[in-house]
Amino acid sequence: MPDSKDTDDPSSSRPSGEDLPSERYLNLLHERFPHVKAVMDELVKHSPTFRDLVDEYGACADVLDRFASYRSATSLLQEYGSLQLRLERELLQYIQNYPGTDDNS
Amino acid sequence: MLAKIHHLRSVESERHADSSFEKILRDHLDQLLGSSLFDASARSRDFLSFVVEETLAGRGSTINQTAIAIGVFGRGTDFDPILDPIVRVQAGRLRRSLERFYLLKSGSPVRIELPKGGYTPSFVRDADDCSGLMAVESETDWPSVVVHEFESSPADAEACQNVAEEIGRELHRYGDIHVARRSDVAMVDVHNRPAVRFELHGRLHQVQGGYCTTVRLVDRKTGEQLWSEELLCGENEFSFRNLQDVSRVIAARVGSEHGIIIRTLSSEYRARSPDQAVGYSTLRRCYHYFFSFQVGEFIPTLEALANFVAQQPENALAWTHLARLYLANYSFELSDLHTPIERAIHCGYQALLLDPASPKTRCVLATALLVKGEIAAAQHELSQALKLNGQSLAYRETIGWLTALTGNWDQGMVLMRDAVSRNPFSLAHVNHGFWAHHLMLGNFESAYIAALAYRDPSFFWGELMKACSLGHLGRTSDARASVADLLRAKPQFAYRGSTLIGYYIKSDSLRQLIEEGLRKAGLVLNRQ
Repeated sequence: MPDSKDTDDPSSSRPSGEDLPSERYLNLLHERFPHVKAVMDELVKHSPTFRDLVDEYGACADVLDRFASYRSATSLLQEYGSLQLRLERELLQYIQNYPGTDDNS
Repeated sequence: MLAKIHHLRSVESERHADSSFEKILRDHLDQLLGSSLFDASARSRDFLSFVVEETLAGRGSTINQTAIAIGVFGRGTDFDPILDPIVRVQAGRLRRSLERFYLLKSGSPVRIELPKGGYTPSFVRDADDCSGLMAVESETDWPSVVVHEFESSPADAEACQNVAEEIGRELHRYGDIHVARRSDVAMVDVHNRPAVRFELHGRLHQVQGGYCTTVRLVDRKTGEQLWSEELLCGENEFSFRNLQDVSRVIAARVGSEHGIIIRTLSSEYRARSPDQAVGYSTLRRCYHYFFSFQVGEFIPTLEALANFVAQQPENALAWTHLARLYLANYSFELSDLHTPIERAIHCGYQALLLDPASPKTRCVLATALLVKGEIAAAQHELSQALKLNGQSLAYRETIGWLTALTGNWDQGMVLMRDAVSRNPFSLAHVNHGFWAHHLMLGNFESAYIAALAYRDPSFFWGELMKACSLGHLGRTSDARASVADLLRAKPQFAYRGSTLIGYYIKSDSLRQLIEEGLRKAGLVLNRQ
């Protein structure tokens, strides 16, 4: 089958697991969920899936920042706001399943 | 044992030759989209349908973000994937939904995947439909996990086989759950196949300079995916040194006493009278106690386990857990029940007679001997455990911790550091060892950090470690708050503290340092 790689996909342009997600994205999550900061730092080091989740969360945050002041972007903001909430839920679920997380110990 | 390597066969090249495949695939897509196990949003479903249909129509090579954005997400021709990363983000969610679905829905004739790095789906046919082979075990059965052969390309088949075998060996070392290889179960007569509650699946593929191993643990009783993880190994920046360590970490995460299976079973436990707790449910109750540390549960759990041992004196694991309960009661003063430490040691030796190769038993016995002050005997058990399971990550950190506490700090610290560097799922007590070591060296800030990392909610040691470190650091206000927490956890600590500390800390100078830290924190221990 012919390959249809999209070179504009950040996750496709690096070998899996080599790069950490943007520190800015991780900081966003630290601010959002300070009580699980240490677990997130561990997961970022060890889990490519978690890194993807952080990347996706950060991508949503960027869009929300970029278009926050655009009145015409209401539906886009709603779409990304909703997507970001779903990603938060996934992230928290992932954190919850990590050993040593307080809720899980 | 000859293991049957379980491959997924790419069928893309056969697609045009096999006209029935398209129907199978569409039927499967319908089933997937209609299944409650597929947790994707409506947009993700549209996304999947779109890329599958495009590929079946022969346009797989032209699928890109713009095509999907226009076809699925209502964007215009001016779509810019940099400003609007909707396709990339939704693709990630879709990949996870697909992974979850195939974990929960075993036996699918075909699997749709959306490989990372692109948006063209690949269709793979499962060469080994293994659904319906084994019944799901009941609550009283011993919990079992089947380790499926990992999927890989033929070039990695040998590496794959080694991974599955190492996981099986390491799970066996833990001794808490029964483990079977999928290839072995298949050889058993269909009527005699064991009841199996959990399944471990995995895939392995090469990445630049190493391997990526993906694992998934599924609970067959509920259909729930309990754990999924990708673990990288190789040179340079990868997380793990080699596939052996990856296998050991997987086994630790799945099958150790603090692993997912035991946690799952423990959380299911519902309190009942000891008479009702039969078979494995007694041990389940025991695990539940060790996770919850509910004071009121201690004596009923102890009684249930003592009954169980009386009924099944050949059960080494039950003896080991009974030793642990006696040990905990003695060294943490959990209840008024008089249980001398010799009782824990006796149970430990009983377990050892039945299963001399068990590192768990040797560690419990060594702890009881340490508490009693039989240092040489404790060191002997630890050295035996290390000899028997030298490279296993299963108990390396525990052996290191206990070795340090017996006075052999150099070897203990090496073992602990090595175990922690190789296994991100290390247990809380390692931080107890690090804390004590930092304290000895006068590194109070590091000791405090180790105390914070000691996330064992049980008993009183966590608060003791924090209060002592803060006392040495001169953070009086925080130290006093920790002392207050310590006294809430153990109201008699001022009177019993010296004895309780002395059970685990054998060095006079270290004990004095601990008491000095507590004194600076505002808590003076009465010498008895």
